[in-house]
Amino acid sequence: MTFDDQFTTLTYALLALPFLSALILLLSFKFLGKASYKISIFFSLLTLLGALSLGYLFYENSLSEKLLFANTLYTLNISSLTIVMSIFVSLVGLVVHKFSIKYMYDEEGYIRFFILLDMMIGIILSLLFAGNIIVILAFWHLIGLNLYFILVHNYKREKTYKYGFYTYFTHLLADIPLFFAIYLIFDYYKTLDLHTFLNAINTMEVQNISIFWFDVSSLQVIGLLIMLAALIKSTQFPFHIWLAYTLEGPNPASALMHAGIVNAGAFLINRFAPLFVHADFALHLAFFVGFITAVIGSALMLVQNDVKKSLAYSTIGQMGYMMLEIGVGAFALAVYHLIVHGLFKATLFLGSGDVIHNARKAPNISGKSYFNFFFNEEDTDRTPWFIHAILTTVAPMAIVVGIYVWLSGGLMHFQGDVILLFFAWLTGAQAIFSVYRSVLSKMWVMLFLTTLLFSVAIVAYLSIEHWFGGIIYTNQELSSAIFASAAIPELLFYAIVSIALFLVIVGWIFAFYSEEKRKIKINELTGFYHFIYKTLSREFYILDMISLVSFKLKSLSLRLNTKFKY
Amino acid sequence: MLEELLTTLAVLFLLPIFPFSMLSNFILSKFKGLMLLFVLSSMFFTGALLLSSYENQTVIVAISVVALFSTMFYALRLLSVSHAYSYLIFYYSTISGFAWLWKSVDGEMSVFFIAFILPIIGFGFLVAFLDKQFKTTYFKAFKGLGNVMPRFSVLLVISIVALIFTPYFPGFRIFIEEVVKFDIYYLIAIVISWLLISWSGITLIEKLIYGVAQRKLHYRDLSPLQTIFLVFLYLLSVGIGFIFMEVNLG
Repeated sequence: MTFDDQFTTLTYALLALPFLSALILLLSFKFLGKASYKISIFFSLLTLLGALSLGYLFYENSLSEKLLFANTLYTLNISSLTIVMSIFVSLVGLVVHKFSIKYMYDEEGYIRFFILLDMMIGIILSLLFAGNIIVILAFWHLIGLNLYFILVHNYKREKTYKYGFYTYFTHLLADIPLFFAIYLIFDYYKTLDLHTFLNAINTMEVQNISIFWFDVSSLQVIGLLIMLAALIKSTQFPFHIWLAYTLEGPNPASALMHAGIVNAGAFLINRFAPLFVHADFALHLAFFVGFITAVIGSALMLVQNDVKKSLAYSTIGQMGYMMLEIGVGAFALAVYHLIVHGLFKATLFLGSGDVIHNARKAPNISGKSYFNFFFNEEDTDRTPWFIHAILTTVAPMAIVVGIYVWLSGGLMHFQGDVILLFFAWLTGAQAIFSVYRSVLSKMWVMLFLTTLLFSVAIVAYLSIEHWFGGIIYTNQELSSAIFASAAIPELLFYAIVSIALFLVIVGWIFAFYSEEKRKIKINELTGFYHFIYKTLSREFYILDMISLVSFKLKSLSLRLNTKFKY
Repeated sequence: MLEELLTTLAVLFLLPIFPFSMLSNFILSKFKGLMLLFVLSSMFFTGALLLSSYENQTVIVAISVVALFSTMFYALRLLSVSHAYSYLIFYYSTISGFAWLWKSVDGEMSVFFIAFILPIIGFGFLVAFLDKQFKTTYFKAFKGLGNVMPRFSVLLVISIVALIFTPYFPGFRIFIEEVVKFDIYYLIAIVISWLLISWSGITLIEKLIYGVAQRKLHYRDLSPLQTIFLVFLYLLSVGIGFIFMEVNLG
């Protein structure tokens, strides 16, 4: 068997296995009953092994891209991104399958759940490998439809299918920009083959589209549409609401969704990566929307009183960060982020049921020894607030910049680097501030440990980013070109960075001062705080607006049906 | 001239678009059960046949503008229908608009007919089954069929998934080819119609399948023979859908 034969067989087997599992379950559950879940587990394991073997073949032969059945509808476009993502998806799929065995056992439709899980893994894998834009669209759409049926597993509850519908509808909206992108790609480049289109970008003369009084490059518009599709699917503001309400679905489904499905957007953008060298508007949009989503997602998380909803908003915030990374051109970093986030968020979701269960038994925080070591109100060590303020702002910046220079051999290769370092600095400062804010008995020990941990995290983060970037984008020129495309005029860039820096420093000083002196007159701000809290707790009234639009449309439909009977 | 006018009117009756659809839908509403399915399928077949031999492109292009409006109009109305029969009839009016659009870009009418006839037969059969058993297809009369009629429910879900242009069902090809071939203004209207049809399909599933079933009713599921027939129908439909994924971009 030649290498090509092995590779082709393995790829087809990998794509067929989840669907085959679903089919066998469908045919066998009448005879085997609930025990037929074992078939699904076995096939999930085989899928993971298949993905690992394919990865081994791919890297063993130092491939950067492999096309199977090129220039046909069923072209398979296998890149490093495909391989890494397929291993990740298969792994998460196996974990979710395994977890569901006991978790879902007493639920009605036990085997139906496994069938839908298998289909979801199959659909995601097919999306990862698809090399034709129509097939990409097909699986992009099927993700939303299949997710809907997974979420309405308990279809007797009205809330379940009401919120399931939000999910489905948002995913439908995510298809619309892709339809328009397909229309333009075909109209201007006469192909729907992904590889051919991405090659044509560099070889063909870019044509302009007239939009009202402006002539815009067709690539800018296509890039914008692809980005919009990804933003909607990746729960970016204001299309984030569905994710927060999917907690009505089963826990394993939430894990799969947060670990895999919301990441489809980032995958799509990476799939079309060469396009974004010529589509800087789209990158700026991603940065802006990602930034807003990160802030809003994190703010909304603070006002939740439900573990799963809180986790959902945390995911929305993380998705915002991921889009922000894409917006600065750090595509590989976004993929790394989505994988790492997917793993820890899946773990949190799978553990959330246990947390809720334990909390019901013992609502108070446990008095374990490691907790008492740090938190002891009687023995508080308070040093002057400005020392902490300086420590909080200067120490993480020194760590971030120092490690970056050490690992990269220089500062500021691209604007994106500065923005990412800025956020790393903010994260470090936040961590140190949290330590300060807590009433700790061993403040300095804790600060030292936090700073050490932060340094290790930054070394790991930057090292892995460099290493991972090399794996995902073997073509370093492309990676650099995307970073360059994401850049904005230097003067504007430095103005924004300076303003942000100033605001953050003032914010920190204010926070430290108010924490230490407790002199801020809260009463004067009560009305404002109430307004903020009300707006956040109503989730910016987005759900109300959706309900209103839906109601108005249905009313219009009803009026038409009453007026024109036939 | 007269012959052409009569043919045009005949096709407008058989593949109805608003306002001609008012008459067609009125007549269709007089039929029920398998008879409705038979009449509707016959109208579809005859209409597609007549339209395929229709050659006055100027008239077709002019009608396609009205057809576009009609498609959106009926797609919106699908959102609030209260009977499964009305859903079937309005759905037919919606796709009739698509048929005119399809013809205006020189689409093969046989492809269009094959793409939609199987899902329509499947859905029509299930609606007739519902009517035969409960003597009504009024949505509020049932709820929660998923729990008491599992075979029926699974097949109804598949039938609706097939109706709403889901990939790997034949209707998807028609939709995507129209997306690629029309200009941007048509495209916006087509996409809006698609969105409304998909919304209405899921609403239909919610109304019939989800929730808790009424205890006072006696439920009888599809027989094995009926199930086999419908499974075969949908397997055939998916098979055609796979073949149809190869969109003609020429």
